[in-house]
Amino acid sequence: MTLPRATRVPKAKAHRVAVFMCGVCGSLGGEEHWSSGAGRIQGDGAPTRRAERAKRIRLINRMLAATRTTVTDWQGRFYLVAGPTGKQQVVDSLPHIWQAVQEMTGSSVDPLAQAERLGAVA
Amino acid sequence: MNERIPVNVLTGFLGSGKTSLLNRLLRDPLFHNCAVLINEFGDIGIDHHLVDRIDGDMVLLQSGCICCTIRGDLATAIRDFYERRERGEIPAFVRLVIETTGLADPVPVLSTVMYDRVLQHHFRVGNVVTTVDAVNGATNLGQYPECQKQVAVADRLVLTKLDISDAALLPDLQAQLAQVNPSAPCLSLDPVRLDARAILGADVFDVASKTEEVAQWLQSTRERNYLALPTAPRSGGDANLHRDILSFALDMPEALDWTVFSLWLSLLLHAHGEKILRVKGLLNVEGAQAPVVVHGVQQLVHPPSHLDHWPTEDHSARLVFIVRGLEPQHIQASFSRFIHDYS
Repeated sequence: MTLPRATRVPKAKAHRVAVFMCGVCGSLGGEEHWSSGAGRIQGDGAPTRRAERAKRIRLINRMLAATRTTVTDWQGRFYLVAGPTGKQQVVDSLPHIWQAVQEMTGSSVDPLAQAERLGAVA
Repeated sequence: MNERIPVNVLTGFLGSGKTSLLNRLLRDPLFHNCAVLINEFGDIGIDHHLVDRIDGDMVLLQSGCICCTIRGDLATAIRDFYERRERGEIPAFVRLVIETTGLADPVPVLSTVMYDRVLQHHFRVGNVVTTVDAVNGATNLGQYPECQKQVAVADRLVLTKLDISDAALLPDLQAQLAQVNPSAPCLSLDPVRLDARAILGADVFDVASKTEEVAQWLQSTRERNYLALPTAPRSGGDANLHRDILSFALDMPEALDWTVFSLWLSLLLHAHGEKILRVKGLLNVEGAQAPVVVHGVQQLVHPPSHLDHWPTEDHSARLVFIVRGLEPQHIQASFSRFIHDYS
């Protein structure tokens, strides 16, 4: 089976950031989310876009391990979120990942939950 | 590519003097060639005796500014303005000022400019300017969440009606404003002189002024206290609507891993974005050659941008939050644990 290829289209005159298009479905990707530091944060140790993305996905999967939800890369532009029941969803940014996880597991991923629990116990 | 056109949002509670301030700002020679969108004409209209009508609700001011009331969708109104500018039907304005209604939440306006597929390529967000009436400001701030939010998301606070207010009460009002929004300069509207550039012109997205702007944030947050705003529930209202607004700062002595930090902030904003009225600060990011500015209003976060250098001798990173109904200790604990576990 031939997987769709992500092809980089020429930078549109009026656009500041690269736009990516899937070679098969022709779907255009949106703008980079604010969390993407590659190309914006400059310095000797600044990561490439691909390295940053791989690291982000690795960290997300560590965070979500308890929810039995996984996230994988989809053509370097989207994320494939797979829930505990096998349901899958393609999303394009971090807020959409959190939303998809919430819908698939029925509970929100809340970074304050542990602190609030400990606070309530104290 | 041409520079994007800055968009200033001018907001403030009912009767707080937005249009009066706008009239004065537009007379300043620095702000010729502005476009103005007004959500509704209040009791005081923009200087109609000084305007030439173009068509419909659109008028041309003698200063060279164009003025229009917003009819229907804001994005459509701004696109229409831009298209007419490009076709040469109206003067090539270099700044857009949007005046909201007195009860408006400014965040959807910012969201429109930042995320509309067309507008984001031609416009950028500039300062949010909030007028505060020196006579009724303390009462409005204590009673109306709309007013609290307008103050919390401001980049500039402008005190109005000083000539008819009780000067003895002014320090209390200024202290309350500093508690809600410690990093926004609070300017008094002088009846004679007006520093229009300080109000509209210098902002954190302007290359020429952003280092100075960030230095000012940091300085003001170090000088001010982080205290709860005492608020009284409106009679018969829902007490939960009036949870205290708190501002506080996270100090970050160590360099941060940007990927870990952005995951944490993204999660926090996803789960509690409605309660996080403002987040802004300066970060020391691992591998980066210069400090990184982070700036957001609720779930709207601007992409990270660099300063050329640290604005002061002190190179410690600091992130200031303005929240409603969240405990600073919980955010601090969550941040520390997340950075420790995932860096």
